[in-house]
Amino acid sequence: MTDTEWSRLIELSPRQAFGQLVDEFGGYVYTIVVSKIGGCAGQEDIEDCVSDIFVEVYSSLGKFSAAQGSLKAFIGSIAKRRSIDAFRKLARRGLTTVSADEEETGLPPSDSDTAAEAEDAILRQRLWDEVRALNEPDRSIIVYQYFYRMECTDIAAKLKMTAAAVRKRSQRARKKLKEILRDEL
Amino acid sequence: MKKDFMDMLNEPDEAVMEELAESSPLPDGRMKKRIVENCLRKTASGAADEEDYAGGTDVIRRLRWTGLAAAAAAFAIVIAGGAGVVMLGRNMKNTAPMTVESSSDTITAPAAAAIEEPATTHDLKSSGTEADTAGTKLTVTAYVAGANETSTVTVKGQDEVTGEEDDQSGKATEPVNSGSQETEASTESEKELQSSDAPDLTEPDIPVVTFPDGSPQAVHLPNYGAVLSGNWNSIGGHGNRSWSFYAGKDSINPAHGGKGECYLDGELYGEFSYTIFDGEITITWTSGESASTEMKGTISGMVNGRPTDPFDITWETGETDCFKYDHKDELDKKAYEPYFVEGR
Repeated sequence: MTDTEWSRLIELSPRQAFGQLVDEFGGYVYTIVVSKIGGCAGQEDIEDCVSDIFVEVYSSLGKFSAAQGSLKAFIGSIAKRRSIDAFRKLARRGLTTVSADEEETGLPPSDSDTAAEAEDAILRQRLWDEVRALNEPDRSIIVYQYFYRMECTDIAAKLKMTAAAVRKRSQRARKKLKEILRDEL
Repeated sequence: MKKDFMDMLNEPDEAVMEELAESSPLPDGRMKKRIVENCLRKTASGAADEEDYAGGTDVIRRLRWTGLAAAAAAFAIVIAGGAGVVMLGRNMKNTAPMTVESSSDTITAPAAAAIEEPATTHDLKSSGTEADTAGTKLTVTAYVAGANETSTVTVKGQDEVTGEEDDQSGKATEPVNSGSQETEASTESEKELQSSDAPDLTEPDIPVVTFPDGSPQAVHLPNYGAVLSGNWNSIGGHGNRSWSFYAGKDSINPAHGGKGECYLDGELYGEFSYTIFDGEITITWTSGESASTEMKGTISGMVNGRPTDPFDITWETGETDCFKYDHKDELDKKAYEPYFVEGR
């Protein structure tokens, strides 16, 4: 579907429009939301945030212009901003603790904080690289389990495996990653 | 080591995000249905749950007194600025005319004062014409501009006093204000005043100073506008000759003497400068002449309108000639030696 065709979504019924948006960009938006609030939010909060994002996308379709960029980028920017809002909302509820580093205080970080953050960022990138280098289904198991925070039974159902096999493969994959990153951990 | 390094498996970069999105658990049937229903409900109820919406900006309550303080400070700055402008305006208004007035004072005020003062204070009597008297006054004015208030005193030669009416027109060719450096110190307008209205001291009717009580009322050293003149007869190598001289004040340092011209038998013999110190009048020739041989004679002057007693002089030879007169011990205010009147 082209951006022009997406602009016609506004002429459809809301149900049809939301259906097509979720089908096309659901995975992308869901991934963004999980990456931002997955560590502190439950499944219901994640789905609620994804819903809010699509509602805003739907109400903003009239403002969207292909000259501004792709629709995917447009949706991505809304998703990131909404995810951050959701994170703050959760923090306000007390469901998670927002550290000074995570929340933007407007103050420049100290040298030690900056160095620690840089080390974490490097290690995180190394971890992601090694996870992506894993063979299937180990890679998917690790991503579902630790990024999307799915239960082993749900992962097993999605991958058409037994839960025990998922747990065993997850254990081996983590051991392998730990050996690879041993010097850096 | 981290407690569980797998907890770091978050916040992927864009490339990883794209890759993960492809294997995202959404949409599966049930989750997609829940999300769509949720979207429809939110849309029907008015956008995305505005009640729970958390914006990116936190509202910070600002203390009320800070606003009041800021307003008061701004008001004070405005008032101070306005007052400063008013004060500046007043100062500018006061100073600008003062500059003009001071410059005009320099040119005109002393001249006017000097014109009137000599005539009233010392009762100068002029035997000349009205125009001549005025010229004398104007000459004084040029000196007043740079120094004390003064008056003009002119001493004439002995012949005039004794009734012989020896015309000293040939002697007094140099005006009282002949000093060039003082003239330079004067303003341009004063120079014009002197050049155009300078007194002609060669005229025989130089004002004669008289004093009501007969006392000299003088100080020893020369003063502005004073002129000493005298004559003598020499018996030296020149034979019995008649000498005369005219001496005006020294424009540089009037207290120390002045400049003069010496005449021999009525003809200009040479120019000189002179100093008066400790009973001696020392002259220095400026025109190269020398009195040469052992001239002796007498000199008398007309000071304060009175003739001085003739005193002997010894004219020594050399570049620096010297009148030595015998009234050294009488060099006080009572002696009839060349006193010069101090103007008041």
